[in-house]
Amino acid sequence: MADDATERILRLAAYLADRGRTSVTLGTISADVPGYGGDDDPPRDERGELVVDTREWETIRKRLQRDLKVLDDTLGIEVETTDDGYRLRPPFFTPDERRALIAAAAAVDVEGVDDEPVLGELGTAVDASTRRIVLAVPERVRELSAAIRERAPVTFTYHGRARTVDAYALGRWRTHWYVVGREHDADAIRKYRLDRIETASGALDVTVGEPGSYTVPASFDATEQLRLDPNDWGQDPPVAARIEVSPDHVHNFQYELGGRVRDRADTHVVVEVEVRHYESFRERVLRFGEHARVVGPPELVTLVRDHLHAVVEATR
Amino acid sequence: MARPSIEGKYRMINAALALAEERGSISLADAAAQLETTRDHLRALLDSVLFLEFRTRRGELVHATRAFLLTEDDHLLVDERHWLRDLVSRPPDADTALRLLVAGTVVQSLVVGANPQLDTAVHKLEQVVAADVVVGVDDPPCRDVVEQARRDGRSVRFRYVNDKGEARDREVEPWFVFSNWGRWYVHGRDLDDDAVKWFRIDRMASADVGDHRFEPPEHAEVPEWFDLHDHEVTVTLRLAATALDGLPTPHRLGAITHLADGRVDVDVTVYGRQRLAHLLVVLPPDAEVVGPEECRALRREHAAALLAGYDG
Repeated sequence: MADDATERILRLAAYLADRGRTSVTLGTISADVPGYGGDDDPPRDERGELVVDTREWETIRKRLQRDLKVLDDTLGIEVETTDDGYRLRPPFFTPDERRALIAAAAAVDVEGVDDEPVLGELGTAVDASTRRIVLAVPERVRELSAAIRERAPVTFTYHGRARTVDAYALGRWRTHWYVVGREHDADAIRKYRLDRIETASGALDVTVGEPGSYTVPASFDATEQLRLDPNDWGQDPPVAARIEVSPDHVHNFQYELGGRVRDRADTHVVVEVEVRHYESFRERVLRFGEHARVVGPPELVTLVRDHLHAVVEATR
Repeated sequence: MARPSIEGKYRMINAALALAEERGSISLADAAAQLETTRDHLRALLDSVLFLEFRTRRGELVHATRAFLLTEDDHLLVDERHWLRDLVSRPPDADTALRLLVAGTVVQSLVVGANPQLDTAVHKLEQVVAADVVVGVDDPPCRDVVEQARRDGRSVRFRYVNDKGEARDREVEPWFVFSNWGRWYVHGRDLDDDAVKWFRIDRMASADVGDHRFEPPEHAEVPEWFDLHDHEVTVTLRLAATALDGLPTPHRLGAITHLADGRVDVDVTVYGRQRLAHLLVVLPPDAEVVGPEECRALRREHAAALLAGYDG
């Protein structure tokens, strides 16, 4: 059998849960919950409350405080003190929210965060063999998320230059993680790829500044800023590019660049894509090698042709 | 043996009940093994939770006996509700919150349709993390068909474009579908040559469920890595530091040496000749291939071949 203390604390939790948001006094707890001296008949006043400052009152009060600390420390169940006594704090997650997070934790293996969690914390007891999605989170994400939480500027070296940034948000696009925030020198929003933050001797080279140094502007839209597909955020005048794509490659092409099929022939399919970032468009089209050829508009054809010409000339 | 503290006992109870809730059920023996204790000790600890019932002085019954159950074959399960976890008011610590936030956000990006419970849970986690974290996982169009075939135990037929750009029709037993390194894969037997292979789902076109039926192997896990060592090719480049961000992915960078003229020397490793050719041809024209020599030739030849498509 479990010992008296284990049972007593569980009974206390069940009893307080039963009372919901209604506060209960120390006297009521001691009378109702076994283990708090009710059977010892401690001195009570005419209302049934414990007489304060007696030896029995002090013993019961200390025991309750100790037990409430165990509930808080080990189970995260907090009890607040009101003018009328004790009551449970409202739960952080509803049961349905908890179930949704457990399901997410059972599906996604988040590598690099909380790698050695304490069994019992939410989502740590799932059957890891059922996970089908692995998402690696670099150490710098933890480091920078802590800095953002503290609103502490970070300083790191990027492209050979030290940058101090009020980091606002973190995000991942394709296989890379980015931090976005206000760079002090430029006084403008900038994005940095985390794996490009330079290191010395393999150590993380991010210096964290004074907490509480900035606020994230209310107008900042993390989702908007972290739309990292160049064709989403590009500032070039939008043009409708037409690309002849080998039939077998159309599916991949559309997956990578989007666009709509405008025409089909035996040897190729014409895909139309709205382009807002010419250089990245050129890079992505060239990825398909001889299986994709830009045929319009003339300025994009020229862009690709001139680049290839320049490369051929430079390598003669 | 030292007597465990009351805190230690509670952490063990908490962990055992978490295992029961998060796995649906768990045998007492397995739970005890996970918690590095004996089955009898765990059973004794859980008695308080399993048979919690008492009357107040006024005769009211306080109980939670329907919450947890130990079955006749010694399996612990959450019968109705994990009432202790229902009472948890303390938010998760920062690391736990970040882990759950990332997992929840990934699921949000994949699930079609509303999941209001997950949405509100993620919102609460965002308050704990106090940092916007935007994470999504690409969801290639053929994934649904592959998943459907796997669930039905039937083959999947698709046209597949390999790393060299060659297309071929295939029929595969989809044993296991997973996402790693930002891509979705299916692992299974290729009916054509009876070999077990991996296929990238985003490279599939025209997938449909086939007629062939199969029983998948019992154990399947996401591989920790693919051994692409044999396909690695490394080229040394000299280019403007700002051009590094424009290099096509995936690639791996070696140590970066900053030169006096603002450029950098860097080793770039890619997988396969096709990716190498692409990397070389998209480099800014003023970027130099320091070595090896055959990479300089490949850059020139590949650029010339593509240019022929525009000049011809």
